[in-house]
Amino acid sequence: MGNLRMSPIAILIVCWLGLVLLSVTTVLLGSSGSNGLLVTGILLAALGKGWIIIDHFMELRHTRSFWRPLLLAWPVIMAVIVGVGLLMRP
Amino acid sequence: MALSKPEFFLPAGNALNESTALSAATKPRALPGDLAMWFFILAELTVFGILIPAFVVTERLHPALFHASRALLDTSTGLILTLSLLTAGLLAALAVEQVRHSRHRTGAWLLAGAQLSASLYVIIKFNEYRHLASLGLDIEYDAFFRLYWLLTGFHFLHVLLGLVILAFMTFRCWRQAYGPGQSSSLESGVLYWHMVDLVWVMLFPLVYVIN
Repeated sequence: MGNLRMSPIAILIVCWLGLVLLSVTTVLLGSSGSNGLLVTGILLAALGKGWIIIDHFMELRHTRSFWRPLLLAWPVIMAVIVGVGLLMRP
Repeated sequence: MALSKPEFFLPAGNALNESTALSAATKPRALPGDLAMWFFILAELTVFGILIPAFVVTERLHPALFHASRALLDTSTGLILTLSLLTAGLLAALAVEQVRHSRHRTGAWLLAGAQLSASLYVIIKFNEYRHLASLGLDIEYDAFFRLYWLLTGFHFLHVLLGLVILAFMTFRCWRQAYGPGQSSSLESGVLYWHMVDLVWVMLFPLVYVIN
């Protein structure tokens, strides 16, 4: 890429490609079986998608506002609840 | 939309220009949109933040039932729904970028594209609802479908509201109502759509995929 830096438009398109890739990965992992490792992988993919949406689509990446950690916490809390709820033995 | 190279990549300049551009890209920026929209988003995420754990707890109580009922859903349909929402999100984000550079007509076309992609979600989801209802898998069928209809139905209503907001913003954008430094309401509307995307990103694996 040399000295060229990506424009905001290019970054958004790359982010969308990442979201598509993670979505397809989610389905592939889900169809591969049902064990703890696969569930963890699916939840990590969801976290990655949440991070892309919050930081890049919602443009919170360069803000110093408390809204960024607040919003980033939401998918993390949801993923932990789903992970603990479905993977922990009774 | 054809993107020329200078639009896709920032042109390289001398060391001073690059340093200036780098600091502009990394320096703290103001919160996009209106503050009220952020509180609204927080409230919406809180509601879904109650519904999602309710789904998990019920699945924990009835794992076999959830396994059998989830198998009745088509994961590939869920994937297409996901991609249509995310594509609408991309087009809406690109529209904001265009309006900031006073390219209102391009922004309006991108918002129209976002509506088209979101409409695909509505059509596919509506057909899925109709198919499930025809099989008798309605809200009273079992615990899984009770929560499926509640969660995805509530989200579906948000998508419909998002479509109305996108249509309104397309009209305003076409009329060049968002002048320089006046794109805050456009940013707020697009933020709402990204919130709808964010919620779906968690709902999709929970409802369709994880078994």
